[in-house]
Formats: sequence, structure tokens, C-alpha cells
Amino acid sequence: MEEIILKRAAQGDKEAYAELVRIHYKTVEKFAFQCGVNYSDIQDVTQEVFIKLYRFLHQFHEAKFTTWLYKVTLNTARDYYRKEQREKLKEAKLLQQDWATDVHIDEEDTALHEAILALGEKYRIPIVLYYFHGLKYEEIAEILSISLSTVKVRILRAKEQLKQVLQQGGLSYGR
Amino acid sequence: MDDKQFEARMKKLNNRYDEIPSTLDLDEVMEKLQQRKKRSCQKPLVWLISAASIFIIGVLSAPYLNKKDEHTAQPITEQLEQNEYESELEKINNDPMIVQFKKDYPKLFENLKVQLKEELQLPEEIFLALNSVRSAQALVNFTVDREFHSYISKDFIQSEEQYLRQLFTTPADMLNEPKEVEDWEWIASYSKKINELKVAYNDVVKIDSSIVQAAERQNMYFDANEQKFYYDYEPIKEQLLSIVSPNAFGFFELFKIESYMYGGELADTPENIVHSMLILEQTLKSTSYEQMIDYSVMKNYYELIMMKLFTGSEEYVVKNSDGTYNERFIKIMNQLIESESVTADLATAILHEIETMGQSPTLDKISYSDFWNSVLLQKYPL
Repeated sequence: MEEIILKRAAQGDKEAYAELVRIHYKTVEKFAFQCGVNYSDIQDVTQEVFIKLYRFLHQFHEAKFTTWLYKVTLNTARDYYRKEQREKLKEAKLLQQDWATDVHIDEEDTALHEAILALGEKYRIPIVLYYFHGLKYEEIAEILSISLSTVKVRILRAKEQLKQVLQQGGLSYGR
Repeated sequence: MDDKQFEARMKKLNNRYDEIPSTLDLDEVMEKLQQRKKRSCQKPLVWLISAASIFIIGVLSAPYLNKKDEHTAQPITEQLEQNEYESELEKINNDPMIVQFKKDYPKLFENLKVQLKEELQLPEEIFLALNSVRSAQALVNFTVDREFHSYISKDFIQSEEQYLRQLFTTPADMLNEPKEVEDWEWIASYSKKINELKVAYNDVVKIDSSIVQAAERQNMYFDANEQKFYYDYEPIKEQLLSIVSPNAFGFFELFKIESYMYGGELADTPENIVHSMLILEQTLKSTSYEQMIDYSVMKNYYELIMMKLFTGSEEYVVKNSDGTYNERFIKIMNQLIESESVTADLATAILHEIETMGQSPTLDKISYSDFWNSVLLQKYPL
């Protein structure tokens, strides 16, 4: 079914593209947020992702669409960081206090979320894709253009780092 | 922190991520795309103007040149094609069927919205924030504003209306409608609606009897002590049995189990939890649902809770202070054996060791994989 929608969208059918957006926007929003995009900026980043996707849809051929979607989202999120850094926004802003007002989130979840955001990108993205998007090692390797064994090692190290932080009571421990 | 606790924390956080309200405005995306397209269409015109300017400058600075036609225009054939295209589009979009459809669709949306609001009794703000309502609103806005590129049929209208109705279908409605999809697909859709409503009802600050009754119609029950709504499928068990296989009931039980664990501890009696584990085992042993994300979630919960049943918790101790095994633990082991749990052999071995040696080496070195292996042994007997 999605193949037909994709084909129609690539041929310029706006309704088909709108359907594609409806199917995937939650994934993009969630991933963008986990990449460190500020909660209040998710809307802009998600919009940008879908506008980019539309522009490059004709280039999409045999690869799995979702893999490509994650790649575009990751690149858009990276552009966002760069912009953020240029504007010298404080890192604390990325800890996204504001999402807690919309979601019932307890201290445990906040600690884990902060710990994930504090991981270096090379560890954060694989663990996010593996645990929160249910992707296989192979798919993660393809999205990040790294080897399968590198994916495994990074997920393992990310887990170790997270466990260590959580055992110490989160990032705020000892502050 | 062991692996299981870590996995449970990640799963819990994932649920929170899934609850983050969407901020995307589909209409805005489509409008921006339209704007960019227009801008890119204007580019050739900019080039044309630039070229014309150079031409005019050339003419002014070269008086020896004779007066020439200073006007440049689109080739006539292109202009004609463009006019023809626009006139055809206009004709299509003025077609009575399309005009009527654009009038009727928002009316249908409003009617369905009123009915659903009445049915759910959720406060306006929470109701409008429901993903299904937001998606339906975006769909209607898009439909009303869209420019059709071909004529539409009655089948098209029916399918668009059906899609809108599906968005407004409640979990209770799903029980009464004919199932036209595979079990797993139905369960995935039902679970999504249940999760959405569970979050919505738990967001209500002022809970009154009309809300409690409305929630009950969707099988969400209010726990006055905990001050929260929980899902229970017991009252609709028969209906569910007529829709999906009994082997799928582990998914409905999973909703309950999520509230059994609190900070890594059991939040219900071990006796009740054994009953739930037996239902999960049925689903885990089936090969029909392995492709579902919730299947692996269920596997994790199963291993985690089984480990608690075998190794105890603060409230439910396995060993007494004098080193003897607690009577309640022995009872739980016997309950697993009598109810023919997949872990019956494991429980039998442990009880035998305790009886003959006073200690159980099997229990001392038990791991999460022992429980999953027990499932696999029954699923794929040697």
C-alpha cells in the first residue's frame, strides 16, 4: 500500500504526499525530539523534514523509505544543532523542561531522558533507534552509514554509560 | 542496575515519548510546499526579466541599432498549454460532485466530532488534543482546500468518509463492528485507541460521574484509591473472544500488567500475577503475533515478572530470616505446576531440591533466559 502512495507522491500527487506525512509524522517528531531538538522547535524541524523529503522524493528508489526518512530527519536535526550553536543557546535548553508540561513524566523518566540527551551523538542515535524505534542493527548501520559491528559496540557502550548515570541517580546527582 | 531493569526503564520512557502531543500542522506543510513550488516556478520568469533588461540596456547603449521589439513573452504554445490546463482544473473543481463533497465532508466531521465528544465526555481541551481528532481535523482542512486534478467517483467519496469515520471509532465501537483485517492488525489498532484514551482520561483534573461512566463504556475503570483510570477487558471477554483468537489475550492482559510493576517491584499479589503470566504464555507460545512490537514488549515483561515470582521482592520474600523457604513462595511454585505453566518443570525441580537438600542450586543460579527457554521448549518441543 505504502509503495503505491510513494509512487504517487513521487509523481507529484499532493494528496498522496499528505497521506505519507500523516503516516510518518509521529516518527519524525519523536526522533527529532530524541536527537535533541527543543520541544518547542519540533514543529519547525518536522516541517522542514517533510519539505526536504518532498523535494527529493524523486531521488528515492529502492531503499526502504523509513531508513531514508530517519536519515533526512537526522540531517535536519544536525542542521538545527548547528544553528542553535551559532545562536549560542545554552545547553540546558536542550534538556527540554517544557515537554514535561504536556506529558505525565516522573523523575525517573526525566533522569533517563536527560542521560540519553547527554550521550555523545555517536552513542545516542544508535540507542534511540534501537530502543525507541525498534530498528534492527542492520537498519541502524544503513542509516548511520557505519558497520554492523560498530552499531553493536556503540549500543553496548551507550547502555553501559546510561546504567552508570542512572545508578548514580541521574545527571543531577551531586550537582 | 541489571539488564532487565534497564530494559523496563527504557520501555517506560518510550511510552512517555509516545504520549508527547503532536505539534505538526499538516495544512501548513502543504501550504509551504505550494509556496516553494510557486517560487521555483517563478525562477524562469526572473531569468527572463534579467535577459530582457540586458537586452534593453544593449538597445539604449547602441543607438545605431534600429528599434526592435522590446517585449519578450512566453512562447505562445506554452501559454496556450498553461491556459488549457488551468481551464481544465477549474472545470474539474467546479464539478457539482466535488463542490458537494467539499461541503458535506466538514459537516460529516462536525457530526462525528459532536457524537464522539458526547460519548467520551472528555473536557473540550483534552478532547481536541486527541490524536484521532487532530488527524481528522487536518484531513478535513486539507480536503476542503485541496485542488482536485481529476473527477471523483462515489467510491472515492465513500472511502474518504469511511477513513474519517475510522478516526472517530472508539474502542467500544470496534467491538461491535465487523472485523475486516487480520487479528494482529485489529489488536494493534484497538491497543492504540485504548492507550490514547487511557492517557486522556488520566489527564482529566475534575473527575465526575459522567466521565467515570463514559470511561467505563470504553472499559476504563476509575480506581478511587490510586486516583487513576485503568483498562480491564474482563467485562468484554466474550465479545473479544468472538473477534480475536484466545491466543491473543496476552495483549489485553499486557495493559493490566503495566500497572503491576512499579519501580521494578510487583504491585499486585503474586497469586494474581501468576494468573496473568499464564495468559501471556498463551500469546508468547503462538507464532501468529511475533511480528508485533508488543510481542517483544510482552516477552520482556514476562521475563521480568517471572524473575520476581521466582526470586521475590520486598513484600514477597522467598527465604525467611532463618534461611528456610517461605510458605508463600512454595505455594506460588505449586500454583505454577498445577496450572501447567511453561515454567512447571523449573518449579518442580526447585521444589524437589528444596525438599531433598533444603537448598535449591537451580534457584540460586536462575536467569531471565531460563523463563524464555521454558516458553520456547513448549513452543518448539524437542
